[in-house]
Amino acid sequence: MENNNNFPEKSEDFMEEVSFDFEDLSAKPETAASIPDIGAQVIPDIVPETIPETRPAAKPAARPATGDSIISVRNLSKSYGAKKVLDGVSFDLERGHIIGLLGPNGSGKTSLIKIFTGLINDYTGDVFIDGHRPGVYTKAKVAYLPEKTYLASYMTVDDSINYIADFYDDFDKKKAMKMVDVFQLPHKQKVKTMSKGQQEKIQLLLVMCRNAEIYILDEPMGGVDPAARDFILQAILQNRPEGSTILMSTHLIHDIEPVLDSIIMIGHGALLKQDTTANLTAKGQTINEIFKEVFRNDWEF
Amino acid sequence: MTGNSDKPKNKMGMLLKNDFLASSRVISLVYIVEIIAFVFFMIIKDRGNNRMLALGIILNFAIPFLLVFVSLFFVVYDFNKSLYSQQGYLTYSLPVTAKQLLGSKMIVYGLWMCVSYVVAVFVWGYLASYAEGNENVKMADVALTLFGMPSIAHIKVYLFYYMIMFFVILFSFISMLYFAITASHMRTFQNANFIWAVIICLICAIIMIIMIAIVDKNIFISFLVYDEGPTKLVIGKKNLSDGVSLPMSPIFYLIIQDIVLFFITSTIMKKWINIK
Repeated sequence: MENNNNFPEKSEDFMEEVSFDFEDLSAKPETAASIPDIGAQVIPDIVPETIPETRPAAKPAARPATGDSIISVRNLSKSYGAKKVLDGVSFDLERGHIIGLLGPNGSGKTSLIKIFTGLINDYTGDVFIDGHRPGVYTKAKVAYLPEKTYLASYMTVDDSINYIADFYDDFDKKKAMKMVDVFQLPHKQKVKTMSKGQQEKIQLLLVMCRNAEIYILDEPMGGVDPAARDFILQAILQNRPEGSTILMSTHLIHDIEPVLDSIIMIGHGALLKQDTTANLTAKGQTINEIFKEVFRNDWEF
Repeated sequence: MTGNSDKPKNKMGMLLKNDFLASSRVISLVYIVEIIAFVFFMIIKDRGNNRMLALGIILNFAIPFLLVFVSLFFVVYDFNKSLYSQQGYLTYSLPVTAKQLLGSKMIVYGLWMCVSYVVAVFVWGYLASYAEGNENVKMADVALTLFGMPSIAHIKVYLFYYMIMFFVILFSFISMLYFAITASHMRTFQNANFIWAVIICLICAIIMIIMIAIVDKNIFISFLVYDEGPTKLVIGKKNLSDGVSLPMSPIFYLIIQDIVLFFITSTIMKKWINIK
């Protein structure tokens, strides 16, 4: 198999090699300046000659399977007019895992995420986040990164940090201010005048500076170049509090595959596959290959 | 199913603070312009320079219009932008209820509108009294006339009544606008939401006018203020020779309508809005 993977053979090594400490970096401006290119500069040095046949077994932040679910979904259905995007879906998501939410376009991933984050409420069935139905309590526990640029056009970087700090008690404002420097973002610049990459950075920063129990990230690496994708993934992994759960929807399975603990695949309104990545890849198949196998019919002539 | 029962803190104060900050960015600029124009008028009014005086009068006549217009524009613009554009992803994921989101906007923009109207009436009243001769009583009389009020007799009573009436109508107007904008973002109306917002708002306004007329004609609740001092709320119509009888049923109707619209709007926001 040709090596086009950016990740090393063992996830432990991977974490050691590419990890960076934002506090240390902020104390060394010359190092900080190279951070935005971390994907391009650091990761290629540790890319192995060949892609590992099987995915790495364990990651430091992942907790062992305990059967303790952070999200429970029972008979969940959601329709838009006559079109049913979710049809009686049931599953549990394990606390402390990094979970990939996979599915083709229009499969209901964003609808599911919007239900989890309390943005959609007209559905049938039951959804519990940490034992509560989506509402004020769960919104305080969930750090949500939408696919869209959501900050108000008048906001500067500092304004957006102050805004989030006002509403979320788990937001670490000091860390956010440091990360602004590490990310090389101008404090007083309005978000609307920033580049797409800068906007992605500020939104990521606002989410990852929360000490949340659950992170729900909708296409966090969508629409950015490969170097930026690595940067985003590292920022997520490095700033995630231990024991927290990450639910990440993406089409870029190849990029996130090595860091996933488990996956759920949805399509045609149903849950098509749910398992740990260790189990799924035990026979030597990658998640990418499994995804293509599951959704092959969607694109056949 | 178990879960932590620790309740998140009430963030209504933060909503009010941030809505105020967001709205004050533009509205406060118009206030500053108005203050400068008014100070300019005060300085030049007794100096005998007719051209400058004319400029001062024109500015002080036009800027309050701008103030009211900008406030009204922001009532609509910020509500629509912060809740139904992509910014809605941020607003709706905040740990607050739909009622708090709506309530905060109604309070902040309602107050801005009220203050803008009061400033406008004050400035126009002052200009009018200057034109007629600088008597305070005349200024108050002109201000009353601007409100469409009757004679100067029982001035305090009428002033208080019309102030209440004015604020209730203002909040009704805002709650109607917010209801129309919110309803127009429901799935059924989403493809042409601006047109639907206008249609829904017009329907609401027509219903409101008809209902006020019906209520005013058929349900009589009067607030009696006697010249000697005592006041009384009575059911029925009364003409007083020794005091003033104020019709209260339209005010009660509007308050009830505001409450109903508030709950309907917040329910739509909570249950039937899907931010695109």
